[in-house]
Amino acid sequence: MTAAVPERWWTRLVRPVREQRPTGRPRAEVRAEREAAREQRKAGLVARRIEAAAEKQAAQAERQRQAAGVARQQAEAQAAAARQAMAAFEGYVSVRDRLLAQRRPDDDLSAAEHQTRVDLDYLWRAQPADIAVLRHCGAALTGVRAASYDEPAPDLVARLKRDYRLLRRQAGTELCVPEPELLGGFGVCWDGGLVNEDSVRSFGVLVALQDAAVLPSCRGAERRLVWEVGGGWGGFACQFKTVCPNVTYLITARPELLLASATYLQAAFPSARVRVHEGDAVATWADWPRTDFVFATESSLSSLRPPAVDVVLDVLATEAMTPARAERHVQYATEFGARFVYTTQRTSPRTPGAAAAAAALERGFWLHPVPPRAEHLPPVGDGARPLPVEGAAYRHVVGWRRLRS
Amino acid sequence: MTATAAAPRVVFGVPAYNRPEALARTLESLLAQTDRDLAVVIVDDGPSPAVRAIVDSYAASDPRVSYEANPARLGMVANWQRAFARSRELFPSSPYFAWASDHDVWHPRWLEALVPALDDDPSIVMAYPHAVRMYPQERRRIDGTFDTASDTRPARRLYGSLNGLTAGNAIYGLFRASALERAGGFRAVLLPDRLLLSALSLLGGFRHVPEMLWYREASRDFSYQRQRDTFFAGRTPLHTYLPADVQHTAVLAWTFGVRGAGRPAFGRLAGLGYAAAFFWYSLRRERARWRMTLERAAPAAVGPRS
Repeated sequence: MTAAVPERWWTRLVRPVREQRPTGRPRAEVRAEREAAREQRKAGLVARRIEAAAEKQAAQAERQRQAAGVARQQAEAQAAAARQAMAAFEGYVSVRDRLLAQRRPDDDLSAAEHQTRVDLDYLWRAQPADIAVLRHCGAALTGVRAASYDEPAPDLVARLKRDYRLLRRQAGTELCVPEPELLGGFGVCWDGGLVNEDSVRSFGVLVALQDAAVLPSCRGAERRLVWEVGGGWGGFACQFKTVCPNVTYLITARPELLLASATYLQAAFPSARVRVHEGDAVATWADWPRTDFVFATESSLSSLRPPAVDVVLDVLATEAMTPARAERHVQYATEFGARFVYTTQRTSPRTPGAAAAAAALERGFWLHPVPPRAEHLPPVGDGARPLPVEGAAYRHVVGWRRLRS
Repeated sequence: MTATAAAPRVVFGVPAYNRPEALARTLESLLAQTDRDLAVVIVDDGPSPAVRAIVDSYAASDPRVSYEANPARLGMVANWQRAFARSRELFPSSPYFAWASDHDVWHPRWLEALVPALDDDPSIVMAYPHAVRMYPQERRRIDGTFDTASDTRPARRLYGSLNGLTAGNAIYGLFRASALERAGGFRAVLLPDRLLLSALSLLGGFRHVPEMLWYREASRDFSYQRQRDTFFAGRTPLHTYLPADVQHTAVLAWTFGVRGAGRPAFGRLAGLGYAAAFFWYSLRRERARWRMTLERAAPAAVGPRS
């Protein structure tokens, strides 16, 4: 039996330390263990820092790659636009050279046509930069300006939205062709496409043609020949040809107008087969079912002699003409054997050209206004001045040929 | 023109009566059809030099036009019957027939759009398009859709045609001539167009082509008395003073229950059943109509709908 060792006075002080230390382990070992744990923590920290740095670098690289991608896309888009513009310019030059030879001194122009001719005169000397924004020349014809769509006024947006949505609701999306982002195309971006007053007006005309049971005849398997008088800057032709690809689309107009529409349409349909009538009807109409566009100056109408025309379209073209020329166009429509005519007639007092065209049409065709689609339209704009509805200022009229005039 | 003439696919029967100012426009709209395989048979119930001159001027340059003047006025119903009968006499093998008034207008694509509807499906007995109502200063669309082409049950087609079809527009559709013959054509009753379409609905489907291809002149208000005055020459038949539904039920019972015109699709007994169903549907429709009229006149008297 051993005697109990008396507790020293200092043992009370060291007891907590002695209790924490593993019993029976040397101090050095414990210290080494702690050191190893510290090193491990340090290594982990370093590893995390390296990982974070690597992630940061990767993210930065990804950002750079994305930025490069966007820049590349932009560059590609710019390059494509530049190529498109260059191709359009080449098309322009080719058409211009052929039309230059057909320019005649105009002695029977209305005041509106004189103004248009002055406004479009620059096209005869256009540079690639002018052709790159060719679409802007439409302002001289329809009054719709690209600048109005840089920061469109709320009234304009509200009116456009109402008219556009109404047409889409009534006619579906089948006939809705957005403005192409081509040669300075502009508009408000809805449903993935550009919409402006010109495109909505053309949409309305297509819907009217559908309602008048004329459009379905142009969408069948049989090739049709459609003649648009005037043709504007080519916007309606672009929509029509998109909706009815199986048509040969003839545009007749004064040379400066033809220059704009032919250049625009060649750019919009790069693979289209295009002919410019230069006086030889046989050459112009040879293999016409495989031709997409035919352009002829107004002065060459007498030598045009097309095969039977199915539809004649007058989208506010004859109203700008002098009465004699408007009448002459209707006469040609009859001579060309047109089965259907379509004309947009303003409800406000008519111009002399429009009145003459209407009277001549009445003699050669059975005319029927296309009944408007009845729909309650919510007022847009302030209460005192509700904004006019697209199409309210004019009516769509379709006629078919009289067997006896 | 004789019955030996080559049979066109479509015959327009035009029961004309004293509308020379509009006849030229109508004739042109028929002759300008893009589907040119047609004949126009005009039966004139009020012959006049003006009408004759117009018809002769077109017939001279277009052999598809034929004309017959009734020796004495027949009245509208009999003239419609005569237009169909004369068309069958001249062109017994033409598969399709349409009545054309002497004042409405047919879009040039009318046949082009409607003939395929009948060609494509032998079970279709009538195809008709959207219409446009012509007023002196404006046009209004009539574009409600009614189509029973996919319905195989005669009773459902009958119910639908009674409640959803505007007979005055549909009667100017394109008919399968054999079905018209089986249905018995126009009958000497009030609302003969509704009766004929009801009978046809038992024989096959109606196809609605959603294009505005027929322009209808705005007509005067409807009245039974006006029908009695214009439908019949001379004395008005006594049975026309019975309710129209009773007249129609009797004719349907006779056509399908006694004559068995529904065979082989359905027999006489079923035909009688359909005539009874027609009467029942008509009563329900009339009840609803009266209720609506009363509701408008005196809402409190009718009380809430059950």
